[in-house]
Amino acid sequence: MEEFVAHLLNACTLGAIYALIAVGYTMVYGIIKLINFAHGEIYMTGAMLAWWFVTSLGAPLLLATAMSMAGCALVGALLDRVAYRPLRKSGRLAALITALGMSLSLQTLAQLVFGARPKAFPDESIPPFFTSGWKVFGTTLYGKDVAIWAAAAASMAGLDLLVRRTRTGKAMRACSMDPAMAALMGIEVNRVITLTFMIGSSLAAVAGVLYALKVGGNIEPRMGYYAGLLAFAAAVLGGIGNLRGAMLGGLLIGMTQALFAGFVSSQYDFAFAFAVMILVILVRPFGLLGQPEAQRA
Amino acid sequence: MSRRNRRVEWFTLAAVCLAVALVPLFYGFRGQVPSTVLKICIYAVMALGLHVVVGLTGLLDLGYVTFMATGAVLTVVSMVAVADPETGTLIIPVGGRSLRGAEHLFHFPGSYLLVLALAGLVCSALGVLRGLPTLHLTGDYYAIVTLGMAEIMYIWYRTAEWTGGPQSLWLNPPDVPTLFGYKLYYDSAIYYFLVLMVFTATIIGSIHLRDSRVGRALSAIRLDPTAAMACGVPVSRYKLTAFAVSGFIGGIGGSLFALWSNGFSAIGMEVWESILLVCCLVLGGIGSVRGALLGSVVLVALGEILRQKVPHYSSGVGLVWKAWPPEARFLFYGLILVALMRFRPAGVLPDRVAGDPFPPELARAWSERATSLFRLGPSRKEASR
Repeated sequence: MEEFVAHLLNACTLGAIYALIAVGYTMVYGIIKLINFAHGEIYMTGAMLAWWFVTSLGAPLLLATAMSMAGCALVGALLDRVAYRPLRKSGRLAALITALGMSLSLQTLAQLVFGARPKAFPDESIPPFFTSGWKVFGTTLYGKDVAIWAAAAASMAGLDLLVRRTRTGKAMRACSMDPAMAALMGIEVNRVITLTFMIGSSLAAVAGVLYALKVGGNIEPRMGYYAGLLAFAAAVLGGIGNLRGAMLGGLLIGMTQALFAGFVSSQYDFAFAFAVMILVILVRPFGLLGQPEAQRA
Repeated sequence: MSRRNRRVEWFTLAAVCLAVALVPLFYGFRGQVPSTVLKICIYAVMALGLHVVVGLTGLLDLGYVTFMATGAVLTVVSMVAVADPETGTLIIPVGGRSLRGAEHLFHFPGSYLLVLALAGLVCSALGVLRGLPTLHLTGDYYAIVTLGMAEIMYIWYRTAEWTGGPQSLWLNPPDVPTLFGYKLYYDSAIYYFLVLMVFTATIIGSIHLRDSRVGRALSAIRLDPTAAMACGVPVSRYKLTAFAVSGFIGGIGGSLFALWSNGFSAIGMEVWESILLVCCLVLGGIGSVRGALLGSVVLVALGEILRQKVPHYSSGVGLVWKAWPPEARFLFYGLILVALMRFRPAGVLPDRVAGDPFPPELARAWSERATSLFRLGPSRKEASR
């Protein structure tokens, strides 16, 4: 029982982090139908930048996170402007290859700039609340888990409100329904896309910081690759293009992986998550909350 | 396809093969240059294997490294497998240790050719097996599923016991296979010419495949699967054929690569290797045989050059010799992919010989003109939105 609760708490935390990355994937896919491979690298950049702000500028963690969110929003907007916008008119394969290229470049760049050695936030920068714990069902519930859930829930509730209740959100929904028609209605599609990239990227930055806090380090250039791939799996699982689907998918994929790691084998947990992803694509490519799309010849 | 273009193509490719054959005259078989040339040839073979799926069939396969790894691991494992002198059971010595007095199980005359064929056939079966569930996928989803499958295989090879796991399996001198009584060392003449032969055969085979009935069927599938099906092309069967051929070539390439790198290390078979192969195709021009060759020459050579020591300016000391970190090449690969898609999406050396008889852009323009002329409902552009 204790073991199960402990694994479940871990699983929820991992799921919340994946969900935060997956919403970025799904928002971009919803509008420009691009698998933004580099999104995982943005998540890595977020953690890296926050670490750099904390260690070299001495910024407190919260401020560093905010700065890294801003930095990642900038990187995301640049990514769109430099790499993806010129390709709007060309095929989806060209855009996918570009995304692969950007992912590869960003990852290597991070390795050249920050080095391959895994980094951790210094202990004194972590608020005491994160390390405090309470006994729950015989296991310890750490403050960091609670903080991660709260941060993830707040960001996603905010995002959901933004998309459903504001004018900007309405423009985003219009663009994802039909960019051409949205443009005819006077919506600046490119500006909306840039905004989408910025929002998704700043959420990915939050996820990066939260992950580093959760595992106590492991900020390294390669961290974005698997996380990005699994977040994509989460987006597909929930129905790609569907915001709430991505949150659900993220939770499910994260929990599947963490529970598999806890109970079956921690060596093959990623392999299992990938297998789930492949099965979802093969069996239900439109996801749990998505609508099947008629095939057009 | 004009006769002249075809003659030019054959002449170019023959010149390439001849150039590879003449390298040892100037540089011998040992050292940096022939070793790089061999690596280029092996990558070109694998790039041509990938070309069957990416270039001809038009499916972005991001998991080709699986075939490379499988071919390599089969070769190395069968070559180092020995019988335990006491119990007679099969042992795979991991980490480069060798057992005194143990006898190799798979060393007999012609055994390497058998292993080569076996690597090809196993990978071919793997390709079909991987292709069966993904037959109905196209575009992004096919790419992601192949990537996921490659990741699973990578994780398995990295943790399994028989592949050496995270450790390497080295080919010690007694383990190196023989061909016609000569040891196939990575710097031996016989190995050089074996690679050259496979390289030449792959090029000839690729051209014939492209110009054959199968190649035309695959091109039809790439241009429009539905239309191809309507014209009586058995799409699934031809796709499986493409997967099988592609896997076969990948397995052969992997086997040769294992000899080149003198062993197998699962860690070195990451998915980025398959992205490198995709990059080779993209650089030269997807769908072009000459392009695949050009891509492998440029990118493999670039990787080797970046491994050299280059002068760096350092304050105080002046110029120091430092090597780029080995990962730096991936920065260039990534930027090359991005820049090509932006400025030259058809690649540097697009295949005029195999140019689509009816490129999609042209088709769209024509259909639009036709609809606007005859007022047959909304234009295709509007309908597709």
